[in-house]
Amino acid sequence: MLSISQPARAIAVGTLCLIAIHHQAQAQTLPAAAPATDRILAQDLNYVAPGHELSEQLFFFNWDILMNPIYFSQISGPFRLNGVAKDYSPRPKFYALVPGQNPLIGSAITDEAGCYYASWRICFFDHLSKKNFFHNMRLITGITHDKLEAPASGTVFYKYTNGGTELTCMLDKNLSPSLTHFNYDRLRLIFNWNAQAGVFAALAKIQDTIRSGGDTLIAANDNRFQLPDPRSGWGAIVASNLEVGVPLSFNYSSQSKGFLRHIALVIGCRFMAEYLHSGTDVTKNGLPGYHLTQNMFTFAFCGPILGLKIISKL
Amino acid sequence: MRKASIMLVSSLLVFRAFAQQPTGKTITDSIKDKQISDSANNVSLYKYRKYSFSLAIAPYTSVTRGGGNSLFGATEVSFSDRFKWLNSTKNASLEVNMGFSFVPYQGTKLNLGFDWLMIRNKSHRTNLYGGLQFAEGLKQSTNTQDTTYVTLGYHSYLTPFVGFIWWPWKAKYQSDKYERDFKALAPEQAHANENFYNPHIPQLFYIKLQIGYSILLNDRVTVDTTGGFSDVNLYRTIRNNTASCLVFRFCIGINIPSLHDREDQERLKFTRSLRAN
Repeated sequence: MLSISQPARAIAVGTLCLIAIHHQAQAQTLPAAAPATDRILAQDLNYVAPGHELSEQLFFFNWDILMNPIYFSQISGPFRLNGVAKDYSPRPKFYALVPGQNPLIGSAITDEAGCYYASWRICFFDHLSKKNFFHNMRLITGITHDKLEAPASGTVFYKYTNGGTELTCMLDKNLSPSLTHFNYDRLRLIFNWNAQAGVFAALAKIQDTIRSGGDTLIAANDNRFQLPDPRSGWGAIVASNLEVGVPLSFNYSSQSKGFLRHIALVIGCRFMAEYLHSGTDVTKNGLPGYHLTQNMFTFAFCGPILGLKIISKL
Repeated sequence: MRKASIMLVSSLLVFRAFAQQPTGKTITDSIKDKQISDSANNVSLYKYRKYSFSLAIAPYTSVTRGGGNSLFGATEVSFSDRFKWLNSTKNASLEVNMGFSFVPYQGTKLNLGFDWLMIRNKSHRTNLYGGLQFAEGLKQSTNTQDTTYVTLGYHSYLTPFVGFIWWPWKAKYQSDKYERDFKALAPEQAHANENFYNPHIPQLFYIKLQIGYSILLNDRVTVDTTGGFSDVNLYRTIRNNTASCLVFRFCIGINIPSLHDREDQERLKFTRSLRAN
């Protein structure tokens, strides 16, 4: 028993008991585990990850509408008739967005170009290490559609009627492979930042009639299309695309089926440098045997790009 | 001596007990829940919503140079990156935006700016933000007919803005208080927490509504014509609209989750190897 003569000891023991109880209570209110942040970005157990990565796809298809093509720089070379420079003007240009477009977005989408590309896995590169430049590189083949024409005038008519159509072949390097893999694997969200470079051959034929300096040049034929031929138009493209895409079907349980899962809507933007050598056979003052050429170089930006992606394997 | 020892031990235990109370405040379950929720929401902000890509329509009307009679619409494409190291106050989140806008009568602009997301309550689906954007309008020469050109010179803008961001399908996280008490979460909340940890594509979409005032920084913007340009109305419209403007912005975007650090990457590799086995 504690006596009155021992108040300090009594207080001390009492304090110890209270502290012990308080301490125990504190221990009970500590979180059972650390804040659950380490569960963030855990894998959903009900989610069925795609069996194939985008980079592992043997083939997928892109259809992109390139809106608002803005040409920062367009360098037009002179017309050349059988290799001799001629001072025909105005020189052709790619379509540019005019500052006086109509209010709201009505006409902002009228100057679109487009492309229809198939992206192929290059199995030959599969064995390369991740540090190799050609790792994660794919082959792009398809059609590039852009618009080139000389401004309307009474002297020079020179244009791809209904736009240029160019058989294109490029190499495509994914610049964000980790992010692409991560988002496609976890969410089937398509994120892609790539760089592309390649060449093309013109399938569309330049339509032209030029009356200038006493010369009358008329196209030898007015076909819409032509077979690829170095004399009839070719060029090169270097581009970088940034795109985000979502599949049309969000349901990815193991039971879900359907074609919509193979289709994704994509939105993005593109920097592009393009060189175009256009050429066509013409008659000069009624005489055949003349070849008219013109060189163009442009640096452009397009955005937004609205795209459709068809993925073969899920 | 014995009394001194007892007092010393008592004092040490008192300090030990007090040390578990930050700033002298009693930690209750609700405070711990809030800390856990805030921590989880904060981390998720920099993982689920690290990058974003957006498309916007920006109606604007010029205020100076006699404008203001018409409403025009620009199209904008933006890419944003949210930097954790810029979150010095821990109560907001700063993201850097870069992009392009295509503006009638002003041509193409390069945009670079930042916005400061107020995330006082991190679980909210709607947050207020404010920011500042610099825009450089590029020189643009446009052919109207024949050899007639109208050329708009370089022009720069500074735009302070405020707005709301809304994640309509964002999962609201609730801390695991009930788990700690060995009680089951309500099925709806358990589902919400599961969605929080494993967001699907719909939960990444967001909508922004914004208003700003775009201040023209140039004293004088050149609008030149060549080749017998005669469209006086177009010239005047370009001239009047290259001015300080009131700009609205309706934006839809999607967040792009990111592997935030090396630890995440290692964990992902580990998970993948488990799955492969």
